[in-house]
Formats: sequence, C-alpha cells, structure tokens
Amino acid sequence: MRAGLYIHFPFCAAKCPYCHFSSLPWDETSYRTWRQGLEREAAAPREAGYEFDTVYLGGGTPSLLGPDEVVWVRELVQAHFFLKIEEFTLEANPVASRTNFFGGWREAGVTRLSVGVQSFDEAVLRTLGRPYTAEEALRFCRTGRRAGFDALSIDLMIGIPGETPAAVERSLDTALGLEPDHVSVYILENVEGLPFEELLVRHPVDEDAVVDAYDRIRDALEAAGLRQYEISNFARLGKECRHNLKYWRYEPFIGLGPSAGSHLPGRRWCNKTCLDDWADALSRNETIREDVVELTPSLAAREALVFGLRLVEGVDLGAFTERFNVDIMALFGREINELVAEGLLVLSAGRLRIPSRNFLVSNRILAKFV
Amino acid sequence: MGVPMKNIRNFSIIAHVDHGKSTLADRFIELTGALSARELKEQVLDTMDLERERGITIKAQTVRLTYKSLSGEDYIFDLIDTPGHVDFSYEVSRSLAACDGALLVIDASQGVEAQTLANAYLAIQNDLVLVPVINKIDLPQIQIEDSLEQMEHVIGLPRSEALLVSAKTGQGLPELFEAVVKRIPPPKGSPEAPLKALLFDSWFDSYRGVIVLIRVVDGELRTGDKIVLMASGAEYEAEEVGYLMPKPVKSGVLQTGDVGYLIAGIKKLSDARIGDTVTHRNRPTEKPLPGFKDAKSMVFCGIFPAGESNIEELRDAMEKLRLNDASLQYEPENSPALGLGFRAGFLGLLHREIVQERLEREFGLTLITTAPSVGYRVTTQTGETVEIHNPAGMPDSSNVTVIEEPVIDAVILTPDRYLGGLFKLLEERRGVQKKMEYIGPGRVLLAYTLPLNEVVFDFYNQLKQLSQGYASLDYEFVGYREGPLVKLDILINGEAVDALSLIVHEDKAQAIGRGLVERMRKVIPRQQYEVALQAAIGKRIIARETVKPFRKDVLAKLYGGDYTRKMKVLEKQKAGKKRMRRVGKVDIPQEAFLAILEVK
Ligand SMILES: Nc1nc2c(ncn2[C@@H]2O[C@H](COP(=O)(O)OP(=O)(O)OP(=O)(O)O)[C@@H](O)[C@H]2O)c(=O)[nH]1
Ligand code: SF4
Ligand SMILES: [Mg+2]
Repeated sequence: MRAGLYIHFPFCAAKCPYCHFSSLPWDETSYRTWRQGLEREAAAPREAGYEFDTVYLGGGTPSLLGPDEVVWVRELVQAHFFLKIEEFTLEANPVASRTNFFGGWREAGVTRLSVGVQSFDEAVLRTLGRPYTAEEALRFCRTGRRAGFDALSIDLMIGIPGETPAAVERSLDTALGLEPDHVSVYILENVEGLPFEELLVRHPVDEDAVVDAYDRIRDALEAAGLRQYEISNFARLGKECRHNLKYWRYEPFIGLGPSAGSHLPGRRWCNKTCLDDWADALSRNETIREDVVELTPSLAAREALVFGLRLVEGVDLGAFTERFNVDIMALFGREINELVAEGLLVLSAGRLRIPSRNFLVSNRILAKFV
Repeated sequence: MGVPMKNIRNFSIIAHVDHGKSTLADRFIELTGALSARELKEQVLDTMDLERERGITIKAQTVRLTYKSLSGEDYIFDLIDTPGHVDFSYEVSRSLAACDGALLVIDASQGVEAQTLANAYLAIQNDLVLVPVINKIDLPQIQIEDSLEQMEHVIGLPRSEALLVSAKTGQGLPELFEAVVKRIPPPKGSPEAPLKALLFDSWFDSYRGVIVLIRVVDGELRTGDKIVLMASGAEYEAEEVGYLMPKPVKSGVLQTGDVGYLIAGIKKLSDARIGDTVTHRNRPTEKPLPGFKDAKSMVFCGIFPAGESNIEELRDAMEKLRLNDASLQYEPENSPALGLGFRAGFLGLLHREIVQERLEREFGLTLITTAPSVGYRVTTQTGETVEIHNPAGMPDSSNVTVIEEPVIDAVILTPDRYLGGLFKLLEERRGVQKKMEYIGPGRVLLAYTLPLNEVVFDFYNQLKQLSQGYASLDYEFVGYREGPLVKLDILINGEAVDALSLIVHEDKAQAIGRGLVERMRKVIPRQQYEVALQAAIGKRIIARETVKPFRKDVLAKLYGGDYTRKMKVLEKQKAGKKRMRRVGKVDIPQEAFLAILEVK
C-alpha cells in the first residue's frame, strides 16, 4: 500500500509570534538531540507493508539543513523504509545565506521546494515578524526557481492586521512573476495564548476584506493557470502536492519527529510534541505516540468526508461505501440533502463536493458531519 | 444533647454585602472547635461553587455549635450566616424568623451602609435582640468612631453596646461569644405544648430526596413521628432528624428551641413549602405560625430550554430549585418565538443571573433567558386592571387607557463628597427626593422615590462608579404610578419577536431602540443570510441595523498532524449552537436577548 512519509524538523532561526507549530530556536545541542532521536525512531519496529512514494521534510524550517544533512536524512529513512520516491518536498524559509544550498538539495534528491514566503510586502512581513525583507524573499525564490526543482511552491498569507488591498496585490504580482508551479494561500488564524493574539484583538481583521483578498488571489491564480484543488491550494496541472493530497484523501502516512502525525488504516496518532520528551521516550524505548485515536469505520468515514470535502474534487460516495463499509447517505442523508438544497453542497455523478464559492464557509458545512 | 433550652442561643449574622459575615461565621466554627483547622477553609459556609467563585453568599446557611462559656456552662449556638446582597434579602427575612437575635456586623472601614440599615430594621420588626459588631478592626486607618456614631444615629443602637472584633484575626471573638450568651435570649417555646415547628429552608438531595430545615417553636419531634405539613395538609413520617454541625449529625429528636433538619420522604416537592408549620398528626397545634410574606418579584424574564434541553427537564429543575430558593416565582409561558417555557420573577438582576446559572450547573441544562423587565399594571377600555409580567402580553395600545409602572422607595447612603454626581443621576432616572439627612460627619442618607425600571438596569453600577464604590443602595416596592410608557418591539427580518419586546418610557424609547438594535447587531453572529434588525413603536420603525451574512468560516489550513485539533474545532462549532435559539431562520444567542442590559 502506498503511503507518505513526513519528517518533522523542529527548529527555526527564530520563533514567529503567530506560530503554533512545534518549532524551537535552533541550537546545536537540541539539533543533536533531534538527530539522535530520529535515528532511533526510524529504526524502531513499526507497522509494515507500506511503500512510501512521497517524502515531506517539514517544520519548523528544514531549509536550515545543508545538503549533506538532507542526504543524511534521506539515507536514514532509506535504510528503514521501503521508499519509491516520486516526490520529495523540502520546506524552506527565505534566508539569504542559504541560496547556495539549492544545487546541493537538488542533488540530495529534493524534487519540490515549498517556500514559506507569506508576503512580498515589507510592512506585512514586519507585522508578521518574519526575519527577512521582501527583496531577500524575492531573490531566494528566484534562485530556487532557477535551480531546476520539479516544482516550486510559494505560501502566501492573508488576513494580517494592517494588510491593505494594495499589499495583497503587490504580493500576488510578485509571486506570479516567479511563475510558481504551486501556491498555498492561508488565512492567518488566531490561536489563543500566542503573542500575536493581543495584536489581533487590538486590530481585528475585517472579515469582508479577507474574503475579498482571497477571492482576488483565487481569480488571479486561476487566470495564471494555477488551478484550485483544495481550499488553500493551487497548482498547475500535475503539480499538485501528492504528499499533501494524502492528508485530504485520508490516505496513509507516517510522521517522524516530535509532534508529527501518522495515520494508518484503523488508527491515527501524534508523536509527543516536546523535543526532549520525544527524545527521552525514544532513548528509554518507551512509546512516543500520543492522542492515539482508534478509527471505527464510522469515525473514519466521517473524518474522510470532512477532510475530503476540502478538495475541489470532493469525495466519491461509492468508493466511500467500499472503503469504510459505511453508507454515507444512510448516516448523513438528511444533512446532505438539506445542504444540497441550500446550495452549499453539490451532489453529482456519485461525488459530493463543496462548490468552490462556498469554501470559505465550509466549517458550517463540515460541522454537520463531526 | 443534654443542653437545657435556656442554654440555646439562636441567632443570625446580618450585614451589608462584604462586611464579613461569612468570615465571622468561620471564626465561630473554628473557635468552638466544630471543624478542625484542616477542614476549615475561608467562608466555609459558602458551599456553592457560585458563592466561592463570586465571593458572595447567596444562600443562608445554618450551623449548630457547642460553646463552653467562661462560667463553665455548655451552650448551643444555632447560627445562621445570611447573604448581604439586596437580591437575596428574602434569605435574610426567612432566617430572622427562625431566630431570637442577630449579630449586626458593620465593616469599620465602610461604616453603616444601606443593607446594614435595611437588615437592622428587618431584625427590629421581628422583635429580635441586636448585638452590634464592628468588624475588620485589624485594618489600618479605620475610623471606628464614625461607624459607632452612624450606628447610634440611624439605627439607634447605643455605642456602648458594640463589640469590636476582627473576623480575620479572631480578635474580640471571646468577648463576642460571651455577649451572645448574655444578651441573646433563649428560645421561649413550651416543651409540653403540641409540636409547632417552622419550616424555613429546604433543598433536594438526589439520594435523600427533600430535606427541610425547621426551627422547633413548641414541643418536640422524634424520628418515627407522624407529622403534618399544615399548609398543604400532607402527612408524612419523620424518617430522620438531626443537626447541621456543619456536617449533618443524626440526633433522633429535635427539642423546643432547636434548629435542625428533617427528612420525611416528602414525595411532592410542592408540599415542602417555606414558611409552613410542621406539627404532629395525632396531636396537632391549634394555630399554624404566620409564615412568610411571599417575595415581591422585581424583575421578570422568560426562561426557555435551548440546545439539547427540553421543557420537562426545565420544569423539573425549576421545581427543585424553587425548593431551595423561595424567592423565585414562576408560571408557564408560551412564546410564539421560543415555544414553551416559564415566566419567572426575581428580586433583581443578580438573582436572575444566579438562578440561570444554578439551573444550568446544578441540573445540566442549556437555557435561553429573555430580556428582563419589571412588571406593569394596565387598565383597559373595559375598565379591567391587569398586571403584566411580560411586555409581549401588553394589550393593543388602542385598548389601553392607563399604564402604570412600579415605583420604589430607595435609600442611599453616601459620603457627601459624591452628592453632586448622585443628584444628577437620580434626576436622570426620574427620581423624586423625599429626604436628605446627615447621619454623621460627611455621611448622608438620601431617600428617593423612583420608578423601579430606572433602578434595576445599570443604576447600581452607575451609583458605584460615581461614588468610587462608597455609596450603597436599598429599595422597596411601594406601589404603581401612571407614566407615559410605550411598548417597544424588536423585529427580526420584519417579524416582531415577542421574546424581545420591552416597555419603555416614551422619552427614552428612541435612544433605547437605537441602542438595542446596535448592541444586537454586535452580538448576533453573522449567518448565512442577511439579518435585518428593527426597533418599532407600533407601526413606526425607530431604528434599523443589519447583520451581514457571514463570508468566512473556515479552517484555512489542514495537514497531517492537525486531524485531532481540527476535528475538535468543528465539534466545538457544532456544540456552540447550543446557546442559541432559532427564531425563524435566525440563530439568536443569549447575549442578544440580554442586549437591554448593555444599553446605556
Ligand atoms: N482585614 C479583614 N478582612 C476581613 C475581615 N472579615 C472579613 N474580611 C474580608 O472581607 C471580605 C468579605 O468577607 P465575607 O465574609 O465574604 O463577607 P460577607 O459579609 O459574608 O459577604 P456577603 O455574604 O457576600 O454579603 C473577604 O475578603 C474577607 O476576607 C476582617 O476582620 N478583617
Ligand atoms: S518559520 Fe514557520 S515554523 Fe518557524 S516559527 Fe515561523 S511560522 Fe513557525
Ligand atoms: Mg457571606
């Protein structure tokens, strides 16, 4: 069975004030802890029978790793997993000093570079507390573009306090100028307890402005040949992120590293979030799995529906019944019919999907199925 | 327990809010050894979570203590800790009816305040002996003299009678114990007479059923006795009697003068009526005790089930809560917008809030309560006069000849330096001054007549703000007065919603209508369709706002590690709907029903 392999690199140059991912400021000792932990985790006994065709090195900021270190990661997983890599993504942040890594990464086997630019607008970058200028970001992406990866992806973020329509436009133009193969568009999320919360409370972002920005970006991307395939993701034909598609199609993947999630048929879990806890547990041969959820057919079907509806393609109800032995219409017939009647869902040719104009109100739809 | 009746002392602790009643009760409990230091926590008699969270007493609590006096004799102290807040004054009057005396506590840093006066008068009306206690003398920079002077001047208690204590440190407590023994009289009843006991509190225990508290006035009550609850005529058998020390302790018998609990397998909750008289079936007392006056409800609102809760659960919960809160009154209501529910009467807005919270917490309900309103009296064309507890029930204006609103007599005590601001406030609130008097250096008593409607909403906060917290207020209902009142309707998408109607003063209708829809726009979440909000008097629309349809409600990002978190967000969203009620096609949250409380 095909599966994805995710490796979490939990370090960044500095912590962004809005970030809720598991990431720490880089330091040598912690880095060694991570390497040692990863060696142990990769070698640990695990569920067998999977063929890994996508590898995703995410974080954190894995682009802090030089080519040699990426080779080390690849060789480590090669030694313990049955790999048939068709896509190998490296997440990167635009940091000027790393532009000389591109060739090496390429040689290390990276096929896809995903750059967390967030914005090409100076003021917005400062609000976000990102440690680079718009100019540096642009240079980084340009060099990356030329390095010959199969795909270059750019992350853009909207819904940032103080963001103007002009700033959104500027960012979008610059991004399109790079002719990326893939663009992800995220709306900044307020997570309670983060330093950014205070700013968001003081300067709430106008809902209409965010929606307008999203619509504007979506239209421009579509016009440039980047088709929407998921709520936040756009790609040229054939350049969709195969690894991420596994998340939305509810297909199996294994995650390594602190906080990484895994999902195999019948069960999903997350690794311990804290680097030291994760590493300690590994050194003592104890379990690193937390939040283990046993997926009954009904729960699995509901989750697959909730996540699958994020895709433009939606979900194939027939395949559903086969896969989970659960008849979605029997379970949610009334809800589905109501939503279809309201125009919030479309049911045609056995597929259920959210029309893309309703993507931004999808929680209302999805909440019916949890 | 071998203590003769002459050694029983039965008293309440009364005071203004926060003057230290519950803390004083702690010292009684601690220093008489009823609870060990380990068992004792601060304000130990405030047992409800709500009381502890808010730091106020809501329910009066009874405890029996044993005290060895300096003369070496054993005494029983039956002590009742009462609440200080006006909204719970019914608790005080109930408690006083079961007592022979009261400790009137005065916070030395605050002096005599409005409920000090009100509660002192209540005790005097009940012919109780008052023992004045000046508390918090451990605080620096306090003017004990001022408190003494005010006490002497307005309550008429000679300063020589006051005991100076600190409920915090225990200073002065031994002297206070002796004063209780010497000054508070023992119970007067006759042990030989037929049983006559006052039922003064009750609650529902899920294991034991109804438990009632009684004060035995005459005769005695033993386990196994056949009893009658005189008002309802219901007959039961006393299954268990005992004392609260403060933990329940079975005693087998309650004697003349005792305060204790009684479990009698009372099946019908309405049989356990506060103020009723308990007597023996075979040898009944001739005349029941006078009982209590019904509480006078000051504000009313509708209570409706929401979320998963239903009307049967709500009815059951109201009945059980009413056992424990005799000041709560209610009748069934059928609202076109919200369906079956209850129209309930409360002593004030805090009382309303507490009732809602208790219903939700103690009975696991989800509720929507509608806009609070005072009651009105309406005379129609046919000459009929009706009391209206629900603005929606107001007859058509063409059919109404007179609308009258309730008026109150308010007493405000304040340092004189705040008078300027207070006069202005009272005038804005349509107040008429009846009296102004200096009750001590720099301290003034104001008596005003005011429409109740002007006082229940936000008045108290304003009063506190204008006086930096120093002014205090007490009020009582005195009657109805005709006024230029109009019904203000709120329309949602063009339809008047009965549960949102209000009755307001004509001059203020415009401002209130505008404020109301504006506030509602802020608290009604965006929905799938546009929501039009209008305020109208009769057919005339006086204000309008719209809630734009929502455009964004999305998890913008979802990857492998997020499954659990994202599912939780969606589950929460699904559950979030619970605190709303659907009216037509619009989900209205609780805050929108209470918007009037935020309109200035
Ligand atoms: N310094 C000092 N503080 C006291 C004393 N007595 C009570 N307090 C404090 O005053 C506050 C109110 O005390 P409570 O005992 O809850 O007052 P209460 O009269 O029971 O209040 P309600 O029941 O809400 O009317 C608390 O913070 C007590 O700690 C005292 O003698 N000295
Ligand atoms: S770079 Fe990304 S992972 Fe690192 S702190 Fe910023 S947002 Fe978080
Ligand atoms: Mg108290």
